[in-house]
Amino acid sequence: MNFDALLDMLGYNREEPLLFNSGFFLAVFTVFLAGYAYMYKQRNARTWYIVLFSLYFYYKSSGWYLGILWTTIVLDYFLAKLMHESKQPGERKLFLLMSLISSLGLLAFFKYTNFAIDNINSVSGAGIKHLDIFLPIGISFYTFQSISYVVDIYKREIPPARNFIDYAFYMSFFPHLVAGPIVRARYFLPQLDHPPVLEAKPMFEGLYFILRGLIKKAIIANYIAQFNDVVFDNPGGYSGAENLLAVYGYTLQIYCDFSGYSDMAMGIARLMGYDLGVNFNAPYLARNITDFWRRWHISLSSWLRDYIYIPLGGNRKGEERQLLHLMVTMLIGGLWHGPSWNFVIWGALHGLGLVVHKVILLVNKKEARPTPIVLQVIFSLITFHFVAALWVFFRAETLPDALTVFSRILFHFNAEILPYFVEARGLWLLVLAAGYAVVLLPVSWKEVLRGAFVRMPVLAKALVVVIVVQAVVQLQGEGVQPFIYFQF
Amino acid sequence: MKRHPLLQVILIFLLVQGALILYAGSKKELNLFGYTFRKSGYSAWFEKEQVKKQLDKVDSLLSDSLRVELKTNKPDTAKQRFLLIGDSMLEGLMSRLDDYCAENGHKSNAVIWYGSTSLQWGQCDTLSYFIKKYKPTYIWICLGANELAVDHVERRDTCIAHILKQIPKTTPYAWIGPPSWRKDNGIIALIKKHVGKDRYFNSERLVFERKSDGAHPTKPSAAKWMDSVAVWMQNSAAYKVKLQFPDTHVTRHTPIKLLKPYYKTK
Repeated sequence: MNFDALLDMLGYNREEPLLFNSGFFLAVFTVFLAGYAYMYKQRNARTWYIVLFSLYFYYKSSGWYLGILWTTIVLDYFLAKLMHESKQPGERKLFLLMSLISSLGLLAFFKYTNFAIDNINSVSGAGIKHLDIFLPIGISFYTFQSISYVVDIYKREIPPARNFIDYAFYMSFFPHLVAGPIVRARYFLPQLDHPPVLEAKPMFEGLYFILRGLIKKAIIANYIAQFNDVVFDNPGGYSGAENLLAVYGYTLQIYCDFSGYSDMAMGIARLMGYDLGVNFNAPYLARNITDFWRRWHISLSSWLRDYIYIPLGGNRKGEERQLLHLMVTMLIGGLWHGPSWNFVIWGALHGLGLVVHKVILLVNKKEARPTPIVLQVIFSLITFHFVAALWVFFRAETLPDALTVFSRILFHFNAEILPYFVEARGLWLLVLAAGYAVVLLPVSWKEVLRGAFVRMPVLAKALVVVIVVQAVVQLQGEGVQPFIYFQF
Repeated sequence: MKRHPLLQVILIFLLVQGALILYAGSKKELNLFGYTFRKSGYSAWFEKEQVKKQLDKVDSLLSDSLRVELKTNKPDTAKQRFLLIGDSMLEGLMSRLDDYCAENGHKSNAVIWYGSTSLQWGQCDTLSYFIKKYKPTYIWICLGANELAVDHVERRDTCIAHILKQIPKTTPYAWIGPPSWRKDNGIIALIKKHVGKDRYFNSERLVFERKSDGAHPTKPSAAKWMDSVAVWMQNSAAYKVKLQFPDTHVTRHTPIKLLKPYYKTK
């Protein structure tokens, strides 16, 4: 390999972000870990080393948009510091506003400008041209993270970071930088004050999480995406049966894709001795939609609860207002996912689901009784299908496409195609079934598996890693599929 | 002495990469119970040199004359020997092309490589081989349908260049764009960049009736597609040829060479 090719590989390439499931990341991360082994005991060296690597990681994916991340870090650090030191309530509020305007302003400009232009054009027919804007990767995640830090300091719930570099570490820590989880300062910053926990059990659990994430993302999600993509790109060209299978497929795909990324992020952080918390907790086993949001993308749903729902008034202003707060929170949550009416509708329907569930609870204010297991299963199935149906709005390119999916399922089911489908796409069905089986596996079984992996000798672990990586190579098409949540 | 867990993890990663590199560099692929184990991306390091040698060999055979600007203002009325190469989309065009050939006195040969993309055609000398075999006077390429959604589309740049390099400089050619069944990721712009606007037939603007797979045009729709291509070939292409609208439907078929997909199928 010549020197130019190596520089090309290491340099910024918008099409080739440093994905956790790429071979290049494994190679770079191994070199990084070797350096880390030498300096992890020294606080300053460790912090600088990780910050510099994180900035490189971000540069590799976003080029000089790194400047926007850096601007957010610098501004919010100093504004939060000034706010903390100030005794004047008015002054503190001003610093808070400045921070919120700068963070949300950048997010709004990069994420929603062209969406706003589209809407202005469709209402007024003005014909304003789109701006040539590239959405900086991970901006939605780090903006929310930064807001939580500043707001918590404003409320005097946490002290500010010890120094600028600690704050830069918290904001730019590469495992969670581009696709979450949204880590709170109160959870993460205290970890910087102690030497990282590099003990065998958490580290090998970290390795196990990475493998689990790889299986979910690179084997299950990427493979079943191939059929889902074809159907969702042209739902009218497929029978209702195929559309339905694509809906089940996408429901599994988005879970495996996103929770797979979170697993890898969590595992990589563990290998460095840090804990990012839990982001998913068997969401498809939820018994109702409220329960679902306690288990799905926990770092986002808890952020929305703490920084939107509760400040709006939560349940403190009466039952009607509470329902309104739920709707507003979910609408904002929907819009956070992307600049499209599809996401708004998706958020609104989830909000509606939460409102209906809340109303049912208010009407049935009976004494809590244990629910029979059969009813529990039925409730879980209803919740699962509600969530799956709403993913259609999330995935479809346009609203008419989403409605086509439903109309094909309801009015053109064409069940006779199923035997041919089984014959032609047997492996796809097998991966789908295996994927759901893994997702629905009891937690206790998963813990046994994790424990067994942790106790294995090093060579056996290496063999397991080789098998998983080979399985990824085997099922991987050309190129590596980007993570669904990368552009949020 | 017990090793530090961090060193154990580094050791595991090194072992894994060592195993992948070793297998990627091996001459044969491992076959177990009829199942072939693919090589990882590291194999590109080892294959690059081999492919380069192969391409250099092909290029040296082709670069002996200057390319003349093959353009006509009026359709060339001479009888042509068309060579059509491409993916499964070609199937749709062939039946109707037979009618045009019968009407206008042309002959044709086709090579359909199922599931192929510019990546496969651009990394081998298959096109050169069939050019030598059939000695066409006009070459049609119909590729792109299988790569509308691939990542790293820029990697196709050298492949498309290599496909075009294999066409003798005295032979006109045209690229029939894919009947897009999904949004493309830049492959069409890349093809246009290489072949130029007047050698590229844009199928994107046409509306197709699709088969149940949602991708391939139905037979009547593919026939209309061919009709549009013929109008363009006769009136707008860089090198125009006579392709009068056929009144009748013929049953004779163009000889078609079918190449198996590059990937394993059931």
